[in-house]
Amino acid sequence: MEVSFLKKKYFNFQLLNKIYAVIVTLISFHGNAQDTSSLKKSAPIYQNPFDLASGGASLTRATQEGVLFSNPSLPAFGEGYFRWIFLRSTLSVGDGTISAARDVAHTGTGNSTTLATNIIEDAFKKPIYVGLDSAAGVLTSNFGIAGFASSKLDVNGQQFGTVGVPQLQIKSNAFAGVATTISTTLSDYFAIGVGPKYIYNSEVNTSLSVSDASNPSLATSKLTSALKKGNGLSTDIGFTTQYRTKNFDLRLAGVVADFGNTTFTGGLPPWLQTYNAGIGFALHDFTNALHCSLDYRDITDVYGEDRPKKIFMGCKVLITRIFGFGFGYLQGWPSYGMVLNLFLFRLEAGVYSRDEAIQSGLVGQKVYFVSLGFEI
Amino acid sequence: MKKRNFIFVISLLTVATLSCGGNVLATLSTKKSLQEQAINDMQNGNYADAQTKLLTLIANDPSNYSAVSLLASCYAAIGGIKLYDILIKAATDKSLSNPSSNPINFSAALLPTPSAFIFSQLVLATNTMATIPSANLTSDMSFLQQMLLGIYLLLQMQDLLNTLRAGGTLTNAQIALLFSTIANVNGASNSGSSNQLTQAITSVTSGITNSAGGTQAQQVANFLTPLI
Repeated sequence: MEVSFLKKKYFNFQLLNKIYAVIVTLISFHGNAQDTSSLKKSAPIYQNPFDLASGGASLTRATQEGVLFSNPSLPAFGEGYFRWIFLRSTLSVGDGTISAARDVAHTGTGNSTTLATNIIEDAFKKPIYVGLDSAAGVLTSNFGIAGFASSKLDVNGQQFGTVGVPQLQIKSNAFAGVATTISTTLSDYFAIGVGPKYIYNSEVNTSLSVSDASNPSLATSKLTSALKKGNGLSTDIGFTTQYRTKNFDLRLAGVVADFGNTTFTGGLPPWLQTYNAGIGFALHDFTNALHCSLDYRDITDVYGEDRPKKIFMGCKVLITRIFGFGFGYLQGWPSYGMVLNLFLFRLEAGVYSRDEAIQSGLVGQKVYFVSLGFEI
Repeated sequence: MKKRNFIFVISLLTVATLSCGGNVLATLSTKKSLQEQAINDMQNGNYADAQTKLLTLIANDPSNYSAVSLLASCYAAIGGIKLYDILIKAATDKSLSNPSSNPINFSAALLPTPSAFIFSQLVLATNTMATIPSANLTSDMSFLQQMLLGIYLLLQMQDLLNTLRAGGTLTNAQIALLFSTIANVNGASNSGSSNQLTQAITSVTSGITNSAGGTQAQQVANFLTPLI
């Protein structure tokens, strides 16, 4: 009896040691200098627009297709087996884009030189940002699959650039693929999930100065050589624990995103493994609910982002399952939006801000979005 | 009652969020960058703030040549010489004269009227650029240097022409300064870029140096007299 007890104790000690060694190895591996140049940083590659309007804290509670990208363990919690068949498209535009669109409408496409000049002038007044996201799939409590496509274009003109010369920064990131989740509960309090994804990724990240622009062949070659395309497999692992009563829920979540680093073909920079944690609570009755949550992403700081860029927080108020509104602070910037659930259709609209500088809070660009979804 | 309190709290939170336009977490920033702040100040037209920040940066690290180059651009902007505005106008304003055949009229319509303040800011700008060792000049920095010197030259030409139009005479000091600027323009490393402004600068420098005359003063007089 005594020997068996000692054996068990020794086994537990060995197990703890191994877990500790794995954690230390993982963290020290990711502490080494890594390529942090990808346009994707610690924020998820896709977020439901209502979640973004609500501050972007989606680790403990994500809206619909957002669970496939925020925390793969989330579908395991909730009522019933079948959740949704969904189709959603979202258009997002930065506030500078509207004046650029007006110029396109006024100039027409006949005079391409004037049109290009007008758009460049607009980009120097306010950055141009356009995002288009689509996702379609099916989700159950144990399995989910969705096709998705997302493209973002950011053209930011700086009158003084980095050395006093006008400069045009061009950032474009587009990806498409298939996202899956496999999730299960281990008890009423704990769920785990894994989310493998196949991703086709392309990005352009370059800047053109006046001296580049005055030499069209140089500018063209700079843009062409900046375009990188490739594909890769990424995996997220998520854990969620919850305490639930009749009118109150408390959740804690942890997600290891891009487990083992997501590497791409075609010379694209990798998406680095990040550790992310979130806490959230909900006050609810049968038809109404208030969800508030806070996420802290990239705990080990592999991307070296400014601290506020890793903090997402906000609340969602859902009234009678038909109407909802959300508000929060996405990376410190105010965000707000609404959702209208009209039986099969779901309309979402709102505004949030993107941080355009390395230092948080210096340059924020308002982004307006509208999203139309279909769900069963 | 409970429901009313709940609605009140939510309304309060919403109003608090919507009423705050800035970044509430900015004070937690771990990446505060004086250089990025200076660039942002310049973009927003706060040149005096940018100048203070850039001078601090350069005092701490004299080899921060991008900050030096930014400071030169900032000095010029304080004097009303904003390269972005000038280049956009040069490229889009169809009413401007041909920069190669009529550089004086072209620059008169493009650049501000010369004044002692503008000249003093341009001297600060060009002298600041001159502190960057040529081996450390990037192509963008060379371009900036070329533009600042060229604009300085074109404004000097305008100033001399205004003096002659007013019935005055050119002093030896003015002529010497003009040829010194021409030498600096010709001596500056060429960024390889060409635009309407570089065409006007080239036209002026070659026009003067190719003008007939036994002295520099005669060369300048011969070049400017037909334009009076």
